[in-house]
Amino acid sequence: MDRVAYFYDGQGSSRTTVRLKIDCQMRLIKFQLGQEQKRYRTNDLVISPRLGSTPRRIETPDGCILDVPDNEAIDQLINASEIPVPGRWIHRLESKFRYVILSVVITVLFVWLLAGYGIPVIAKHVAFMVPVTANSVLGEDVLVALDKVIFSESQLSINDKQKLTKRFFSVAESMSDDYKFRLVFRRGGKIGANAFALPDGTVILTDELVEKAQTLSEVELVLAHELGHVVYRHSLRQVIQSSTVALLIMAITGDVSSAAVLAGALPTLLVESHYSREFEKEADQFAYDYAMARGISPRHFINLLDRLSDTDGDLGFLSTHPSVQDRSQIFSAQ
Amino acid sequence: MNTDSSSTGEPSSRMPVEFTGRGGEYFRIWIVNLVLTILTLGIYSAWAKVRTKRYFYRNTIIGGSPFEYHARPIQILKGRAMVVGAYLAYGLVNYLNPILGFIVILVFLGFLPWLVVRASVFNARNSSWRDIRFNFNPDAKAEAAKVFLLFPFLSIFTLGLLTPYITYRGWRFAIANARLGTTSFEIHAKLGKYYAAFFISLLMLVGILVSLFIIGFLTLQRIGLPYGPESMSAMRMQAMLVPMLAAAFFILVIPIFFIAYRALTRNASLNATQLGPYQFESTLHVGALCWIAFSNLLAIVLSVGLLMPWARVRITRYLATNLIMHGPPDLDAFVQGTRLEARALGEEASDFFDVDIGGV
Ligand SMILES: [Zn+2]
Repeated sequence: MDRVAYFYDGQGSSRTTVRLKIDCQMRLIKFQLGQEQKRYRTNDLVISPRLGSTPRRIETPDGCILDVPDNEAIDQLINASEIPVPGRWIHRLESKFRYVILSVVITVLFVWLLAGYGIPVIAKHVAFMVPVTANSVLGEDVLVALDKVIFSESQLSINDKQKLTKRFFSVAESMSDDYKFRLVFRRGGKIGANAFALPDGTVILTDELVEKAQTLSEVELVLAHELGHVVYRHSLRQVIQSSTVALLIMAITGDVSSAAVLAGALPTLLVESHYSREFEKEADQFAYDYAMARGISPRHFINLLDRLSDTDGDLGFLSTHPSVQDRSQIFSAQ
Repeated sequence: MNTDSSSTGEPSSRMPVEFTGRGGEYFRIWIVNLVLTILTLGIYSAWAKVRTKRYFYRNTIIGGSPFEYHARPIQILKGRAMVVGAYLAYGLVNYLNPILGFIVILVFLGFLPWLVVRASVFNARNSSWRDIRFNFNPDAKAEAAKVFLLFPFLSIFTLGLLTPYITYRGWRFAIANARLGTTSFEIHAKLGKYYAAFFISLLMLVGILVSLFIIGFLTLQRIGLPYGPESMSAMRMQAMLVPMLAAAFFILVIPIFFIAYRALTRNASLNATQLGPYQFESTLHVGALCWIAFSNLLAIVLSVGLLMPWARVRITRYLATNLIMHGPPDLDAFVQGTRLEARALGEEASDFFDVDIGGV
């Protein structure tokens, strides 16, 4: 049977429509080109692997090209004559529904494992390779910026500050002294009862949180939680993880454009909230271990959280932290 | 093809570029590429790139004939390995000595024009139509240095007023240095059109901002949201509304400017482009392009990326079908001439650092 093919001579851009004849033993192909009868041995041809439903490209030994829209005919030719066509099997994967589904499953699983486990482990190792002094560069600027935008001067008494600072250093002295540990008091204003840890070892405590607390141990455990964020280097790990996720999305979509970055925003957000929950668990665990080591009842921490959840607005400690139920579980499960 | 007889009496026909790719078909190719890349720890990515590029080239058709992409995966793999190696070396240098790292960046910037030219040459020489290869002038390094280094540097001091001029020079660089076989591309674009495109896009942006502001203001009045912090729920609404509006602003409004500017400058450039006896016409419509871009984005986000192939096919089809070639219908006047090889490093490097050489 004849197949329509388009002939290009490789020298000029003229296109000639020819009727391609394949002999029944699949050893020869031939076609009429003007006055000339062209014949090629099948084994001398270079045939491109099948790619969707695009026309097949056949290179002849004398540098001409044939485009053949009939992919089935060419596949038969290849099968019968056993011409080597590198990458043939890829089309077989693409055309079978079960392989496509399997590919989707493997890809989704891989991305999920990488984002959920691989990246956090890598980020942890990288973060602990960075010297502590590199962390301190981050801290100072952040505090200056926060002071400008959110905080105002603390109104706690000197006596309160001294007592709290003493508790703070009793937590801090159990840890490596590469950090420049210090406790800073501020009035939280908009953000209300809250506490933050900066990567260099600075912990900021708002007046509102101190006012909500009924015992010093309650504040002490919040401070332990915050210092947990410092020793586990959560800020740095967060930065590393987020940028790795962004890179991963670019690699998958094969696109470095802004559209791809935007498209990645939603999954990144989901992944990041998962990461920050993991960090909170780690910091809670740290506070719990500290409480046990010092013989402080972990109840103090839960009590304070309960009180905050009764009165806390949208912008307090709990909005930057997981729900009280989640955390009570961590503490009471032990 | 409709043939219309123009005043000179020469037959000229209107030949739109066709795109025959399909979303479902490309999805299969994309996902298999992805999984093989994962299973080979990234090595397959070079083969994946060639397969993807071939799929889009082979489905782009002018005068009944598709384009072809000829790069060998192994060339691309070498280029990638070198880029990754250079990047890791830079990371190490920057970690050990940030000042040295900065010097390395400066040296890299010095190489940028060379990289851009190399990438263009590689891409052109590995692309063909009717088996006639494209080519790119390898001696355009001085021009590249002006377009990609000098002018952007100068534009820092001119409040962006140089931007249309840089776009104009970018298109001139990309088109006037290109050839199909022995036939050179020519561009006769007027600089004024690029400034017009810039100000039209800017006006569009301002118009949308003003109308959004008015709509927002009216809606707030309508639902009677209290302005003061009297009630807690109002506070909550405001606390949620402000970041949402800001996000909408950056995700929806700012891109409109870029989409409009790129579409208008692409039209201006391609409408002034000639290849031998052929004249090009680009009929991109800003509204249609915005709709495609935003609905694509939404589809990709909602499908966690799985509709990415569909979106890519869709935008490619729109760009292709809005490019039209006018001229003699037989299209057989192009001649190959000599053929040259090209190495892949330039292309990979520019890919990696996202050098944009004109085009939407
Ligand atoms: Zn925390």
